[in-house]
Amino acid sequence: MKTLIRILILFSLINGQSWIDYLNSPVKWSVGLTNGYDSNVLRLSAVEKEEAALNKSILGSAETFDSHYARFSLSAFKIIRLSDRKKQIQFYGKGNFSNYTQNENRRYWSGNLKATYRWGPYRKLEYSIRHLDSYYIRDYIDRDISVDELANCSFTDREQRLLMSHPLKKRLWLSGFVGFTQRYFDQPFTEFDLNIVTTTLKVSKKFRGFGTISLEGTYGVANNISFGKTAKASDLDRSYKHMEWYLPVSYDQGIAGLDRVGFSIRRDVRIYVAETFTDPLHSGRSHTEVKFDMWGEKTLLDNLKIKGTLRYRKRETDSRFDWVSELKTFDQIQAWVTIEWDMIYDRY
Amino acid sequence: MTVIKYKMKYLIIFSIVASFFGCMEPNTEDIWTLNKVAHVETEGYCRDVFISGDSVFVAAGQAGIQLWDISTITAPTLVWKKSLSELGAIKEISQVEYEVSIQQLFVLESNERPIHIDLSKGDTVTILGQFSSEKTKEFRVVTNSASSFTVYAADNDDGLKISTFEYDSSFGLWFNTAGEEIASVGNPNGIDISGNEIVLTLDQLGIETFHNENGLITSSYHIDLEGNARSVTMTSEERMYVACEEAGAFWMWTGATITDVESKTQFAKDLFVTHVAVNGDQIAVSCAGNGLALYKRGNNKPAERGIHDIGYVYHSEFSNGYLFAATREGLQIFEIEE
Repeated sequence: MKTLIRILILFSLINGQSWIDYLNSPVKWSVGLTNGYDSNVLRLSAVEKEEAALNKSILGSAETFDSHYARFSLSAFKIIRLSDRKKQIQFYGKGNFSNYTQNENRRYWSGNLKATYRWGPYRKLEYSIRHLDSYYIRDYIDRDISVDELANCSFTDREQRLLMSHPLKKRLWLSGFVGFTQRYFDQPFTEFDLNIVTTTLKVSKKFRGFGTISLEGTYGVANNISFGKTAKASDLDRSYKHMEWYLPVSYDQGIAGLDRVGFSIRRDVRIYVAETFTDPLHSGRSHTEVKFDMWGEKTLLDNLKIKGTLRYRKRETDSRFDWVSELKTFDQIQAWVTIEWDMIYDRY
Repeated sequence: MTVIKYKMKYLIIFSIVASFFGCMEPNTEDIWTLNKVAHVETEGYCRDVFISGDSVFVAAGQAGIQLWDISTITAPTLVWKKSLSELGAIKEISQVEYEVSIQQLFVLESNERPIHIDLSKGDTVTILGQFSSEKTKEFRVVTNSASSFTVYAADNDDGLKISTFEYDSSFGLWFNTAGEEIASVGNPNGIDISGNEIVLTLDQLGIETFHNENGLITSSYHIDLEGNARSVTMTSEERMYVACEEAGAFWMWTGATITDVESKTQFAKDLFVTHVAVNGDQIAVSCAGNGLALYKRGNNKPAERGIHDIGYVYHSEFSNGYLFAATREGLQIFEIEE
């Protein structure tokens, strides 16, 4: 608490005004409700789906491969304009609660906080922190204590980013961030714990009369911090390197009754460092994951908008063993619609 | 070049402070670490181990028997070894037991008869010969006096076999002076003794306990157990742990009557358990190809503390704070870090 007060006092020194003066600005609130469908919640391969017909324990407590889900979100956004009107500080916070109807284990909350300093168009420095709490993946065998007993496997993510954006030319800007993600698994799967450092560069161009096109490249290194620190299950180093490129295109001139539409392609290649001859399932394994997204957005009222997204995701695993490739390759279709209602709280 | 503006530095300071508070700590599991202290190549499979002070006797399978000196625990040194032909054996050595008070060593040729070896004459290793019945699966030796011992054997075709030997100083020989066979409910393949209670494992038929009242041994009760009961470990706290291969292991109270047993608790259910060793609250479960599993003793079900892939484990023993594991990969010595 003392630290928070000190930080506020530091901000109060930005100009001659007291920090309370700076806080005299409205807060924009948004309430969102998402209805979605996930065709393959547990990311099962075709082989595993066939096996599930005989061995239902693969599905954990679920009865189906797919599920409907609902997500409730609440966000707040505040801009503090500084005496130099080009400059501003922004605070943003969002909390989500998600619930998968056909999979009771996939029930979690997530949220993020951002503090941004802007000093002109496309010029910003931003710190953000994101939290994903106990996200259930599926049931796995806890090899530290058993050879065939399944247990719920879920993890918590805490990601922090320091992002900077700067214009290159008119309506062409470059942004990049350094991210640090702590992906820590709940008991009993702490052998998967990772610290992930990610660096990303993104070039964006806004075209007049069209929209925005960006190209993003990411390189990340994940360090398996619990390697060798539990029992049998941590004998394998789950560290990896990954490279990703992402191409989003958005068109904001209106089409087919929608205000904005867009699509994106994301391709992620992950290479594991594990090279254990005795473990063909993990040895020399890599995967390539592709995600295609399409979305459309419509503003219904001044303070009400609706957005629909369709995603196809496919992960192809590469291994020197065909059975490993077949076991770990899956595809997934997700579709969701979000309705967002904006409110302004202004006490002045 | 981007010049970091004066006011921007507050956000950087904020980021650094927030990063510090924004990090989270990983979860921890109640898993014990197994730190390897030494690994000894035993040529043949290390089937059994018996520790007496700084002396470690090893049943080295087809390599016979070996004596290792562990006065420097991190670097055991071979004192002597005896091959199968020197022992007069054909198959492999599966068990070893040393009686320090009378300096006599007993080893078992797998599924054959125990071999008696005299170590009382300095550095000389004198093989005295085989005794008791063929198809002996396991035995225990109890020293009666400086010149007498009794061997209790799990005789797979006769039941509980008892042989008493006495040393005749005029001949300088050990003579078999008494013996009896007590039929068991099934064919025994393991044995352990604690005080006046003797327990035999009977493979598919579970266990049978016997009570020794001043030399009169009678069957007390029989308990059927899931799986194939293979070995039993009795502790001074009046508990017994029965290794039941594919059904894992059971622990139960020992006693003269079946009502003393109260209930049996199964653990390590999905592991192929061949032996259980106990040291205070630490339980080491030998799980053949599944490695070595550690458990913490509790009032009810032992709590899992991790399976460690140390090879194919036959048997393990605690001694002086160390865990000695008899494995196909040789003798391995560990320290358990809780």
